[in-house]
Amino acid sequence: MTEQRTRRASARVPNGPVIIFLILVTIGLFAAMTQLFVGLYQNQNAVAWSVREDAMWAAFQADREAARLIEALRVAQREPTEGNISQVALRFDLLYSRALILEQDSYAIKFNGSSPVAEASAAAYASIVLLDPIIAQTSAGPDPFLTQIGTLIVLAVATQQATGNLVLAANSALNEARVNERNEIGRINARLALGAILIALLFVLIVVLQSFQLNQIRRSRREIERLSERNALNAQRAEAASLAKSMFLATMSHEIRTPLNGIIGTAELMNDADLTLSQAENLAMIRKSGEILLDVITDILDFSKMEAGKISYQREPFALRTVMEEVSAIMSQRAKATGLTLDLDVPTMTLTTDPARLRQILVNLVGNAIKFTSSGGITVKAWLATPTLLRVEVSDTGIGISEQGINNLFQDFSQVDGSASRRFSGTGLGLAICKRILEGLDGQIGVRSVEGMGSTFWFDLPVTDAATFTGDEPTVQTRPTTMPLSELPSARLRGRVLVAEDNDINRKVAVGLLTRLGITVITAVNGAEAVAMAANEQIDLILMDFQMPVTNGLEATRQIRAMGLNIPIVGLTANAFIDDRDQCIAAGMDEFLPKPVTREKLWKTLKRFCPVDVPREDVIQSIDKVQFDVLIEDLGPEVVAELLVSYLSDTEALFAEIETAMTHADRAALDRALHTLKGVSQTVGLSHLAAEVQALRQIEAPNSKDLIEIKGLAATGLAMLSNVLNQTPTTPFLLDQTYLTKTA
Amino acid sequence: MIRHIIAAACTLLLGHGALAADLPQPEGAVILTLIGQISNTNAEGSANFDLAMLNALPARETRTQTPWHEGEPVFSGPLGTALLDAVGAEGSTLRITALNDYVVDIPVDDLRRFPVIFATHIDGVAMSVRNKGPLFVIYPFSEDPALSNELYFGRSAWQIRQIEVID
Repeated sequence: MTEQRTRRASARVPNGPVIIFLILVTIGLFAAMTQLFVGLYQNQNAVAWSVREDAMWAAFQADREAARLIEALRVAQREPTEGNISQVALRFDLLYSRALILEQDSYAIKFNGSSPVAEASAAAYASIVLLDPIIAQTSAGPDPFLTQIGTLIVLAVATQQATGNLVLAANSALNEARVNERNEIGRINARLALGAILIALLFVLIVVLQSFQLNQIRRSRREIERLSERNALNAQRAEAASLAKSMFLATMSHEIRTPLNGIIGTAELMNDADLTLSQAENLAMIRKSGEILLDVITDILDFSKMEAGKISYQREPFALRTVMEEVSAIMSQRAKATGLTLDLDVPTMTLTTDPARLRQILVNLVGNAIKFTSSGGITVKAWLATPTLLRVEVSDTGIGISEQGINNLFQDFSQVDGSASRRFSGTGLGLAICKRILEGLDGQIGVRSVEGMGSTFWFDLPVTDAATFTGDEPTVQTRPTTMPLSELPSARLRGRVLVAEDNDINRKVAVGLLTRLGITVITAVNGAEAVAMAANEQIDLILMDFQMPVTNGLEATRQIRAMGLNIPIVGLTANAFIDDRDQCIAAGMDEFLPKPVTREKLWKTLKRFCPVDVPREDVIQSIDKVQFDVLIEDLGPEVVAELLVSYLSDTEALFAEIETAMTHADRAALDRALHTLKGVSQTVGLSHLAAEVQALRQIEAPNSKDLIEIKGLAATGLAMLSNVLNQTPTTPFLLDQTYLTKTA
Repeated sequence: MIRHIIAAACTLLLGHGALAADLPQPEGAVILTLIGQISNTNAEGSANFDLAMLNALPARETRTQTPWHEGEPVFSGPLGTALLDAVGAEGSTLRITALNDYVVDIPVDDLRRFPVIFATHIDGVAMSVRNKGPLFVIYPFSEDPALSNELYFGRSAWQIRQIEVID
């Protein structure tokens, strides 16, 4: 193919210039021929002029007149009458008029200045002129005529000889001129013929070359057509391939998510089992890795869905603050874990755009900010730049981005640099996804950053119906909505929940997690079974998987609703998409839970539907598990158990001391006792108790009611600590039940 | 000269009718004889003209090149049509005979289409026989390029002595 093309190209090169050259040559030839024609025409004119008076004719006439003069002379000699003599004079006049013509310059020109003719002409003229004075003498009468007649005849005969010579010379000169002229005409004709032949040849050549060129043009047009067809086909194939790739990615992501849900769920279940600290750490690692993997897959799934054009935008009115706080709720836990603050600066307003996409962008940007910030904090600021444009800025105090990094920041699969990608995991798709979403919503995204000084990612999102409220909604600072995992064991839910899930592992995980939360669980392995059980059993809530054999989740939900049952139904799916959410709401579900199912998600969702058994809110937060775990790690469970025993006895003594000090209003003693209590409580991890005791120290006159409260805190806290200790695979620490009864 | 002027004055005073009735007799040497289909004569079947009679006819000056003269001389003499009117010519062709018996036919139409003159003078000088006189048919060659060819050159007879009007 390449060779062919090269050959064609080399054949193509000279055509154009050659044709132009040929055309120029043709024009040149035309000009030359035109000149020839002009020359010919002028020549013709000159010839015409020259033949106006046939020179030959003039010579002949002169000769004839000479002969007639001689004749007249002889007649007059025989009969010298006046009439005959005057006839001689007339004949001479006629001859003389001929002589004058011979003498004219134009006559010489007619013979091209031929010297024999000129000589003969001059001789004839001279001879005629010689006659003139004698003729003049004869006009007097017959006598003078007769005396001169002899001379006259001699001279006339000489004149006729001269004119005869002139005729011969003129004739030969004329012949020569004719030959020359014929030759000249022949030459001109030959030149014209040559020119005509050349022009004809050139025309033929031009026509041939042009037909060549035409052919080439036709061929290259065909080639271009073929190429464009091939390109179109290639583009089609590429598009198809890209679509297939996206579909494959979407499918794969889904297929990967299912077992991953199993891994994360199982890890969660194991978290409740008796584990050594290193096992717990390993488990945390598994869980964390699973979550990262899940994030990655979610990103890819999102991106491939966008690539496949399977994304839709749903604009609806919503409260900006609500969305922002949801994001904050999701992200603050992660921020806190890294020791970062997450602040919102958002006006109270409602507006119309796609809240789900806004949430997605914010989660991405805040997640990035957390990932690349080691200390300091993240601030999310939002305001209306114009009545129809929402400006949001996510600022961090992180590592920042170099100028070059900014340039390829928003490209697909791009990470700022190799070293950063080594330090920070991720697909590099987050910002590309944000950019695509914003493009889809006619928005813009950008970043300002100084390397090492932090970055500010901003985006402009077109909105409609923006309305700001002042006062209606209180401005709330960030509030954690996610409950720390460590505090969950104390919370219990009540209820009977049906789990409809075909996947064995996922079903077991769900059952396990629900059981941990205090839920009674029954199961179904497909939609039809779930419908049957919903009809026949006493169920408080159904967890319904989307994709199940026999009857899928959506269909089952429709059937359950059709039966008039309004049991809360929560959809479960690995496809965390808006479409799915819409589908499940449309089918009659109450809520939607993206997989993997974690205890945290279950807690958050189910507590809205099931009654919660919590001892007391403050108790949940009363122990510092980290501190306690450190203790167990450092000292070993046995020593910690002893520590708790000694804490028990110590606090009993301290409570007694505090009571006495209160009774005697001994502030110094009271403060000393409270200080000691605070110290020992902190040591064992009863942070809430320590804080309460510290607060009590600030009060002017603490009373017995306060004492009872801190006793209660100590009791519950200690119970929880013993619970934790009991989960370690060592000698169980048995809390002295009498302590609880005493303090309560 | 005075005679010429008187003759011209007579022509003007008497008008065409007087001439048409009859031609005066030539007083000087006859230089031109018209014969053939003519109605006005002054001899038996012919009309004889001397120079004065010719100069009395409506005339014209023609400045032109010719193949037989240097430069562009001015020829003058009676218009061909005037001469034909003077003799009441009724024919389509003029057969012209020169002193040397050269004969050429000129269509009468030529005289109507072009202001052809029978020149008697060149540059104001009367033409002698030696100088192609006394009469020379002059077409306005320089005025009409279509005339510059052998056909009209051939009709330009000189040393004319007789004109015969024929069909």
